[in-house]
Amino acid sequence: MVQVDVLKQVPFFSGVDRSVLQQLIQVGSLRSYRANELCFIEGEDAENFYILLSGRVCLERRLPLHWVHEVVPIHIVSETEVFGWSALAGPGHFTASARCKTDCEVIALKGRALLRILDENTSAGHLVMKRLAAIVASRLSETSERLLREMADFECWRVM
Amino acid sequence: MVGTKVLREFGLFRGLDDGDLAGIAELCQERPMKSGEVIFSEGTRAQYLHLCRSGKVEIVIRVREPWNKNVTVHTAGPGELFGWSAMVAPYTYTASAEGTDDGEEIRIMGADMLKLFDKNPRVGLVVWRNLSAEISARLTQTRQRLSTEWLTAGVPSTSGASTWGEPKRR
Repeated sequence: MVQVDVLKQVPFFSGVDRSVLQQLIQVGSLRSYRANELCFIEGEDAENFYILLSGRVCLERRLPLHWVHEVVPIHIVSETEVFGWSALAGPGHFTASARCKTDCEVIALKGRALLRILDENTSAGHLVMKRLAAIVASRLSETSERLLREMADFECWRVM
Repeated sequence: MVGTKVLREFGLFRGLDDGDLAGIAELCQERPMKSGEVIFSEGTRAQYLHLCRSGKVEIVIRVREPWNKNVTVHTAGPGELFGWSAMVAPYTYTASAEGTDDGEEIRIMGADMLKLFDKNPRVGLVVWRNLSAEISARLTQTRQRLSTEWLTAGVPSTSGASTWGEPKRR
């Protein structure tokens, strides 16, 4: 069972009323993963939103087969950070895979139930969705930067 | 003044009622855009949210060394948001926008919009969610566009742009 005090330590939910956090823990479950296991795979239905409690997770994106690398890291998730934003906004499927770099413990929150709770608690919803937009914008920047670096690296390699 | 009927055409405001849209309309400024005009430049401070009312706008990323070229990652048309950096830290444009047709934009000071959300969190909740979805769509477009650019640049390949590496669950 997830405890409210654990959620209070998560910056993404900072400032959210305890009564809302009480509702959130009802739709969350604790999960454990071994190093190198995937919490989710790019392209699969985005059902859960994740909070990393311990360990380290790498978000990685596929590249076209002819690129130098098949998969590139986009972001390393640290403890108390959230990931899996596609469950709350976006195309309905994950746009990256989440690979555990170490043994990890996470909270998985059901995306639809989380959205319903936020809709019913607009102050908390405003706070949380504002932070979510910042995360999505940050992933866009990180992805663009990484792809441009891949292109540049390949071009350097090609002309050598 | 921009009417609520006009704002209703934008996906960013989907889910808001006429009263909500009237509050946003008070913050809107209409401005003509010329073909070839740089509306904002990558790396500069973002003050405004930009919405395309008419015409077309290219969103361009500069690909640096060794390519040194501009890549158009998206062309925005009427009803589309094309600049949101004034809403999210670090409040710096992450791409440039250039008009390709004469048209008109609606722009809103980011700081004014944030104040409105603080007064009316329900409006904030709806717009932030829509904004997240718009940025998510741009992420997909950018990735596809850069991949296509890679192919058309003459990289030898027997596979198409839609053929992707596959992560394996271990």
